[in-house]
Amino acid sequence: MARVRGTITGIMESWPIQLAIRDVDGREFVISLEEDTGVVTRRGVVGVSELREGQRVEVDVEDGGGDGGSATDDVVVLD
Amino acid sequence: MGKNKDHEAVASDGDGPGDEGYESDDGGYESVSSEGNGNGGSGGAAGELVEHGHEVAIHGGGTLEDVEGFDAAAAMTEGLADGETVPIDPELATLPECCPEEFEQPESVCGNDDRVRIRSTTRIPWRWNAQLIITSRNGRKSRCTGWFIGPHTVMTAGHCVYSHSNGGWAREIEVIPGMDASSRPFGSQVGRSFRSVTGWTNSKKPDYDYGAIILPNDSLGNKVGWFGFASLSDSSLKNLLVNNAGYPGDKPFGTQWYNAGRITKVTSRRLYYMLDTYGGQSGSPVWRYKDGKRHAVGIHAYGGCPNKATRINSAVFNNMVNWKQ
Repeated sequence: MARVRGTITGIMESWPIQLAIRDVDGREFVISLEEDTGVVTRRGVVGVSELREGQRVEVDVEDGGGDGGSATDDVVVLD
Repeated sequence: MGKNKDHEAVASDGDGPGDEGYESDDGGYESVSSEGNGNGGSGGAAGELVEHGHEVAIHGGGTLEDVEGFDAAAAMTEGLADGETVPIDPELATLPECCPEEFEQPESVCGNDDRVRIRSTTRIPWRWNAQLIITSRNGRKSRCTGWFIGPHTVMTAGHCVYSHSNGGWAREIEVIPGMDASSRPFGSQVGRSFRSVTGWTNSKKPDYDYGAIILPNDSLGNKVGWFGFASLSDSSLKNLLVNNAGYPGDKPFGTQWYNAGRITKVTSRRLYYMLDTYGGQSGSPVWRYKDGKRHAVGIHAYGGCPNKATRINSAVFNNMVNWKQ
């Protein structure tokens, strides 16, 4: 389990969706969300449809066996 | 092209030191591979070169599929390039500007959700589209959309066949053409042989996010037929009216949905548009319908408004030709 914090660089439209995230050190992660993963914003929990490239986010992930992992909780938008 | 395992292959597709600059494909020629209608019928010769025609760039060209209930007028105007205008009703013009908070987007889509469900999925071109059910290397299940380009080749996004977050190459993918809810009118096949390019599998570059599923035989593709595909010039693509259909995750499972609109931005490797899409539609075709022929020009892969497709440029085109052999 790890916490990834960085900027969304891609929203892959598989279902569930996958997020490409670049952290402050320039490392690239790909995070698979779950069908019920929510997005926490200042307005509360919204759907993944409100994710946009360039948003700074934080998400807890577990190792997916590759260069990324699966989200274990909601995606928190930091902006 | 080289194999890194006995059932998977990657094509280099310009990857390497110069991959970001990559080729310019606006050289005055366009490459076209013809569609096939199914029942064993085959299209024309792949890789046929046709001289670039002169199109009116501001209007883009292309036509919409005839889909009952679809708001064609909105699709014609949504996503017009910057600087282009449409007449405004004088009464509407006097309305005050308002705060963006009152216009949040409750849907997954760009602006109004004008997607329309396809119910005649056994007809062309809808039967060329397939629901993909993916079993990842780590056992996770996910869904994408794919489309036939030949009797045993199904195009899709790279992240549908190779997921960096789920262990790499998929273990297997079930391909269900023309799926409509619980109906599987043509049956299905399971693919365990996949193609992508190193720009995606090794470098994770969104510009290279495309791939293919190679089915074990020709039976399913010959039954349903396949899309043609084309590598078009920048000027032909800009403002082009394009069609898209796929299997979004926010709708009843296995139902196919249509949308259309203009390409608003073109780069050497990607197409941008405001067509409404959602997770699950990765891999779906973005196609031009012109003079009664359908040619895919992009492979939908990314959301975020604008939504984006991997452009079928000359390098992608050549790999697709190789993959449909």
